[in-house]
Amino acid sequence: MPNEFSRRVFLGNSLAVGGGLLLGSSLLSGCGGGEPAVVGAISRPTQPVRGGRLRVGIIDGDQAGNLDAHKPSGGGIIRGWALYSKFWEWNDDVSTRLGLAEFAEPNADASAWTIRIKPGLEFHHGKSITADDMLFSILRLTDPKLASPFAGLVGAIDRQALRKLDERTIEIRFKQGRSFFPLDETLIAFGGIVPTDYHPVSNPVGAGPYRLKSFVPGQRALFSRFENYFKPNQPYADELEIIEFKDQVSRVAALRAGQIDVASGVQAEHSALIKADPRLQLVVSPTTSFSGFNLNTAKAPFQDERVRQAFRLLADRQELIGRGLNGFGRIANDLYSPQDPTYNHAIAQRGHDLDQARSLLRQAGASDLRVELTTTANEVNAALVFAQQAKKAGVEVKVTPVDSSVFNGPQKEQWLMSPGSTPARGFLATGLHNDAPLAIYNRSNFRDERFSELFTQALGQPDLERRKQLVHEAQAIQHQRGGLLIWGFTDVLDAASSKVGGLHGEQTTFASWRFDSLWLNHA
Amino acid sequence: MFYARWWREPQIRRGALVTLAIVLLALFGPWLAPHAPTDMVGGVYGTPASDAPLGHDFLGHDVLSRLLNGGLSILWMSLAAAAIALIVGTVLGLLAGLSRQRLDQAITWLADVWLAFPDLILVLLIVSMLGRAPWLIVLTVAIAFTPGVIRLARGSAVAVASQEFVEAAQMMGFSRTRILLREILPNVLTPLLVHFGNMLTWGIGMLSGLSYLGYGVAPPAADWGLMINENQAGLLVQPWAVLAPALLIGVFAYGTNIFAEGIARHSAGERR
Repeated sequence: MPNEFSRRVFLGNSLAVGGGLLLGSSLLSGCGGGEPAVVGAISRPTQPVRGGRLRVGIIDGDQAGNLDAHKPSGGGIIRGWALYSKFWEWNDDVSTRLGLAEFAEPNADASAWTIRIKPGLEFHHGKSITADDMLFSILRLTDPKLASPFAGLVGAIDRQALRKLDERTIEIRFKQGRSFFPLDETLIAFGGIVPTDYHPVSNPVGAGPYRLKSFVPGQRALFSRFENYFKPNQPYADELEIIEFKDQVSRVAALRAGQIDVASGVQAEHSALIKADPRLQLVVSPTTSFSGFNLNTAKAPFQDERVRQAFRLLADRQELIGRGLNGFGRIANDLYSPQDPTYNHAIAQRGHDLDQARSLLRQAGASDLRVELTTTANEVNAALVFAQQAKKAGVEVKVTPVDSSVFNGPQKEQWLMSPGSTPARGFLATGLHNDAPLAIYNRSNFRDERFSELFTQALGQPDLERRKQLVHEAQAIQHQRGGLLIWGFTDVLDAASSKVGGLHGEQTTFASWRFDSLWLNHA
Repeated sequence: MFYARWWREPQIRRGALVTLAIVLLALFGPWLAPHAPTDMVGGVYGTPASDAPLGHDFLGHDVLSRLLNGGLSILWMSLAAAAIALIVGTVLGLLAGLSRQRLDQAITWLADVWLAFPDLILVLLIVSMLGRAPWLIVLTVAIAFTPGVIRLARGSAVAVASQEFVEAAQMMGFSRTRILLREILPNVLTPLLVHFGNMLTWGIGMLSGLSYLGYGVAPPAADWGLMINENQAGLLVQPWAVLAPALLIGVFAYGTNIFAEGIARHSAGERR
């Protein structure tokens, strides 16, 4: 016994000494790092290290998961980031930059886009990328036979009017000669460029940073480095492995045990645990993905503008973030896309004002209101917090959790009140998810004549200054009488071993999916 | 009185006391709770402190208050489900056991087919199709339990029905109802009571399981099974929010089971 005791003491001391050395060296070398979002960082080389196998743990385990570029299911979206490249890429601030394309611009009224790719690009199997592949990819995404749930985002594209201008250039036009400025933001997500002989199972080939080696749905996918990736010297690791986990707890355990290097999207509940572990880093991305509620403007009592305003006033946004998001978020002002250069920052933040809410409800003759809030099981927390807040103003909110298939089923636009959230996108793209004319699902049924007019004009206005004016007025309308109660922007948390580099907080939701810039200090 | 004899059996006594303790906790808990079950009084996953001995849960509710409020649903639902199954099953089983003709064949065949269907799946199917109203859940759990009672009641009734005192009663021209209630029922009561205790145990397990899967009691109401589900994300941070309700469900199931087992042993020993 005494022997064992002393051995433990010795081990403990040596660990402490080792940790001290590591910390010391990080003080010396890590001054340039300065990323405020990274917590618990130990010394990490700032220059990318090549080679090694990067193991990324995702929450999935879906046996029906696939690799389809245009109709991904399960973790297919994440695997797509390894396999496919697009015309554009996301910047950290949710704007876009050119990816495969060297030129991509709309004409003066955004009724046609011309896209030209860089010369000498190749797919994983060695075939050069041509205009035929570009057309094929867009046609496949929008193919009614494929019935991709993501085709709606680019539903404006006129399949018949797609044109090849030369070997590297195509032109995209829109249905009924419409204008469509946010093509980059909408086509980027699922517009992976694939060759004409593409098949999602037998030939899952793209131009992404990694090529596929093996894939077992529901378990893992192994990729190897694509030598001819369009960014020189990238990606850094020799191999990438995406491992699927069914639950968060076992994945955190795997990360702490060193069985995976990155855990993509961890729960806020585990943040303290990860921060406390010196071998791990927690990366907080302050995204502009919003969390809110849809107030169905087509139904009583939300037909009344005053009731909508009252609901927005009785939400204690700070508490919703504290309890609903575990404190990982920032309050919002019932408007989305604050990162967009056209966002109207002049609109004052709506506060928490129970008295005014009560008086608005009284004016609307809606005291002692009872409202049903239909939600999925995942989004129940914020709904319960809001219900408790509403009670203080005499409004009874009954939270009804339903299955997500029911929630998104035929009734999806009928719920009286339902949670709403959209991943970080620009104003126009987010609008097309929510309350714009032609939105994919308009759960708030917001159909305001002037707003629709402004939004449609903005869709055809590539000029930033002019578009800004249109959006400013549209946002004033949304803030005044819109159907969305947007209370917060969520943070996305990623965790990684301290050996992983290239992972940093950003405004997008996918900091940990940028497989072409992640690297592993494997030595 | 045979209740007094039961009380002398230590296992029965232990089971009864444990069950009673949980029942009292569930019944009177709501009055003892320091906060309302839906009041958000503390930090998210706040750890135990002097004003919150079990800490706070996923939204900052007081775990102790939710625990004290969360027993009633599982108590009445499991009792009601077991009682309905017992009554319906006993009536059908005794009818079958006594008639021993086509009615017997029909009921037995029905119970066998019914029994072949996995009960939890049956319940999940019905609940996901028709909704999660508490009475519906009670009814479906009762339906799942009924065939077992039918088989037991019929088997016991067949054994009793061939005995002389029943034949004598039949010869004396008593009505079938009277024979069932006065002659047969008292003699099959003990195995049925044991089965009732077992059903209570299964019911507790099944109902808390349903709550855990999100098909039982709807939030924000407090319920032990639901509490486990709600707080599982914080298991590594604030384990009490999960462990305390799990412990109570376990103890409740243990109590009813020990009680039923004790009666079974006692009556078996008596027969010997």
